[in-house]
Amino acid sequence: MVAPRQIAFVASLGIAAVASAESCPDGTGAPSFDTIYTAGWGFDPQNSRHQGPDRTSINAGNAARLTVKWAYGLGTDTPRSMPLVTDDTIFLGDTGRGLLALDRDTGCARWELPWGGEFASAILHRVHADGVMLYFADRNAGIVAVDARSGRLLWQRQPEIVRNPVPMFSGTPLIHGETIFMPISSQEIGLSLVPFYGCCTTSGGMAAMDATTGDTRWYVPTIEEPVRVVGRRWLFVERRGPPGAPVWGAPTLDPASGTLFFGTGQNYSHPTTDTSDAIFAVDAATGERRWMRQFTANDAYNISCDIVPNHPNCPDPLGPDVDFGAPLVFAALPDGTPAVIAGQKSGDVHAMRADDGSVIWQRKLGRGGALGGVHSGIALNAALGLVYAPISDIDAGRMTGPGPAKPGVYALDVADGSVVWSRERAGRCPERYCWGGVSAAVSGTDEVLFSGSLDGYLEALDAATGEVLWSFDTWQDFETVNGVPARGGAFDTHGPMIAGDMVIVSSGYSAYFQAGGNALLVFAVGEEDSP
Amino acid sequence: MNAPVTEQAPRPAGRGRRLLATLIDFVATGIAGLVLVLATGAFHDAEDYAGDPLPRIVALGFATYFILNAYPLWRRSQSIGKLVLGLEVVRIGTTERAAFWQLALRSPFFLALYAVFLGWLAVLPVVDMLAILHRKRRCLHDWICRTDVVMRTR
Repeated sequence: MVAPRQIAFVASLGIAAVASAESCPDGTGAPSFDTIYTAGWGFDPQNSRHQGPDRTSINAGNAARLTVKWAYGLGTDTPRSMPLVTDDTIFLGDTGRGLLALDRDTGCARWELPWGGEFASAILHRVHADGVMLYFADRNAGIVAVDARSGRLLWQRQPEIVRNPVPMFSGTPLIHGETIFMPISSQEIGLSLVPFYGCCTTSGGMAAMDATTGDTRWYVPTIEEPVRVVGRRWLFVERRGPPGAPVWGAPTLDPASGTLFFGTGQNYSHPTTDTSDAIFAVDAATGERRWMRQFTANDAYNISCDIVPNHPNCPDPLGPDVDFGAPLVFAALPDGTPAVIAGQKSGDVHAMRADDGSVIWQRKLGRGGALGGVHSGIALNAALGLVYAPISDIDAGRMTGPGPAKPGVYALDVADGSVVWSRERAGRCPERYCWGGVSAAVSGTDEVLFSGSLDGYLEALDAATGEVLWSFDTWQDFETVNGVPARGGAFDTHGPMIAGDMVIVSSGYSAYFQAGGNALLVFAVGEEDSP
Repeated sequence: MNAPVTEQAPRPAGRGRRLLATLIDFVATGIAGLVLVLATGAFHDAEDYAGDPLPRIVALGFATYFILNAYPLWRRSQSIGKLVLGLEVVRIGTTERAAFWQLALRSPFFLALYAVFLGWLAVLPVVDMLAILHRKRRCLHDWICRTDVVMRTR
């Protein structure tokens, strides 16, 4: 039975879809870019998701003073866009409403660009001779460029993709210099639901685009083998392959060697390839492959397997669906060895040499499954020599991995993968649907690690010991600066953004039957001298 | 050109018989539509879903409807379901075959039956059919199109 509260919440999202943020008073001025706190999903091209002391004042001593400074009611209960923060503005992708430049202190709107598509990425930026451009990925439309001072739409482009007429732009692109690196997955994982669909033909890929014009510089598919017919059913429907190996996550860059790294997902049907559930290293200038390493072979899965038993498009044999959906981290090991660290939905974390992909260490942390294991993102604290891996281990039905669940956050020694500390989490809400696992990406400062869990708690942990410094239950209603009723829920996907004296999160994610919510929460420690 | 007027008084079709005839048409047209999708390969490939596939879905739906429902109604005043159950569509209060404009006006009501798959829109065919509880045994579309469904006598 649907509770009146749920009906009211859904209705409020309808209101949010048409409501505008309160405009800032005249004279507030255009956004300032004197300080820009992050560069995309990973905060930096290496995807460390780490803010140093030059970018945040939050430390182990003041984290417990975090309080909600203001809240904003989003237009969706499945937000997946991480904001960009400058010294006076928060740029926010609000699905159902548009791209907004909100005053950092009050939440009023400096400008608003109405946008009907689905925001799928962090808000990105590029400083150029004439100003600043913002970028975001629309899940279906491609990449969108916007003038940051005025909010004027500049252009919208898709890379020139081969062998994928139904691309999906689910991962955050990476902007470096004059180039946009664009991860590409495919809607075919969902089209497989159609019984008449001849599953499957598309390939994931990575594209490099000119950041000024959106022109495609290079494109590499993750599957180069030609599509072939491998069977037929119902007289007319052909089964085809190999397909899949989508790129769900933001790429990672080592500027020194000019190498771009990214992980791939599973194949959508048989035959499988050696490029699924794999790590790619390509030349950032040309897209030429430098090395590739597969970690799970013969993994074939698509969404049809979840919906109808014995669906004709469900691969047989069925794989475990253990993508590398989380962006990779580039790190220097204590001995100076450049390494790539990858968290997998299987619950494993792998470290490999950045120059040839050979494995340095591997650590199994959770049982894993189709929803993780490591689902959205790991983080690095180079000073402490720790890599942080969130483990979801949520029950995914028959797609759940073997063994006991071990949801929580784990800190691994970057040198050898040994567990330095762990904070295993049980669900704390028997009166409501919940799971204590951590599916959302984690992010940290020198002294504090922030993680949001599927049961709606945002926690600040001591980065060195895992001790809980502060915890806040976001699964509640909030009054908002834009007047749209907001409620928190499960944390998933992009996780916390740290900037200055603030932590910004969106609470709620209704996919996979999790708790939806539309609360954008801006926490602050209230430091006067925030960087 | 309409068929000659018969001399017998029209006998309204029973409610159960009408419902069953509609059910037969609903299922037969649906199955034929799926066969048409299969045979034409209209939704087999990823290319078919690039852009907006809705116009092709609508076109295939209409094609199926015209072949299985509209054409037989126009030629014989009977759809497949009505043929099976011995019913026909006539002008209101007569035994004359329904005019083309009347059949054309009825067609959206049949297509609206498939709204049962579209959430709250399912209320549309329900409202249409509830009107048959009136003693005249006419659905809402009968009143609007000035038609009756009667036992076939010719």
